[in-house]
Amino acid sequence: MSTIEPLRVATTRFGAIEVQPAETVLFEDGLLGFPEAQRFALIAVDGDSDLYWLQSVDDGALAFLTASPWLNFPDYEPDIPDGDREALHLDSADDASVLCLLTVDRDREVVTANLLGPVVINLKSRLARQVVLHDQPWPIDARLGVAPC
Amino acid sequence: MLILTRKEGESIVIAGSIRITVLDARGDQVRIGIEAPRSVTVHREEIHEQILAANQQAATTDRSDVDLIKPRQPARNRPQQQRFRKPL
Repeated sequence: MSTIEPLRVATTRFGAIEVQPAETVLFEDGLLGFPEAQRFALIAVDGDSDLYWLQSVDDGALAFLTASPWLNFPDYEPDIPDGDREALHLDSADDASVLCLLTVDRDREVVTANLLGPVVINLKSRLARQVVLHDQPWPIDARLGVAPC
Repeated sequence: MLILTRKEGESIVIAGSIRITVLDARGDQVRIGIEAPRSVTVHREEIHEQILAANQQAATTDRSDVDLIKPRQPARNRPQQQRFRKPL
C-alpha cells in the first residue's frame, strides 16, 4: 500500500510546514483578487480560540486569518445562494464550515470580519468558495469586540 | 473592450455557455439577465471591488495580529450554533 506524501509548503509566517493533502480544501475559483490560489490548509491558531489560518499551499506568502462568525456575531444568518451550494455539492449544514476573513488595523487597534463574503467549506467534499451574499445586509467590516446593543 | 449594441430582449453569448440578455432598457437603468453555469460567479462590479479590496487587506495579517484578536472574542462556553437563512 503506498503512503501519501505530505505536501511541503515554505510559508512566510510559519516556516516550512507539512500538510496532508486530504486535509486541504480546494477553492476552484480561488478567492476574489487571488484567482490562482486554489489549495489551502486550515491551521488552528491554538486549541480553543476558534481562529484558523487559511494558508495557501501554492503560495507560501499568502494566508488569511479567519474565524467562525457566530462566536462574535450570534445573530449572523447568511443565506447561501443556490448556485454556491450546488458548486460546493453542499446538501447538509452538518457538512458546512463557515469562516470569515479577519482584517486587523494595528494603528487603530480595530479588528473586523467580512460577513458579506464568507468562506464556505464543504468538509466532506473539501470544496470551498468565497460566497458573495448579494443584497444581504451583512457588513464587509463587522467590528469584533464591540459590546452588542 | 468588445462593444455590441442590443435591443430589449436580445442577448449575447460568452464562451458558449454564458448568456446575457437585455431584459429592459428604460430611462437610465438597464435590467440584465445572466444565465451561466453554476461555477461561474457573477457580481455587481462595486461588490466585486469591495470584496477584492477587503481580501487584499486581509492578506496582510501576520502572526502578531492574533494578540489583538483574541481579547476581542468572547469566551466560548457553549458550542456555537450555525445559522443559515435557508436550510442547506
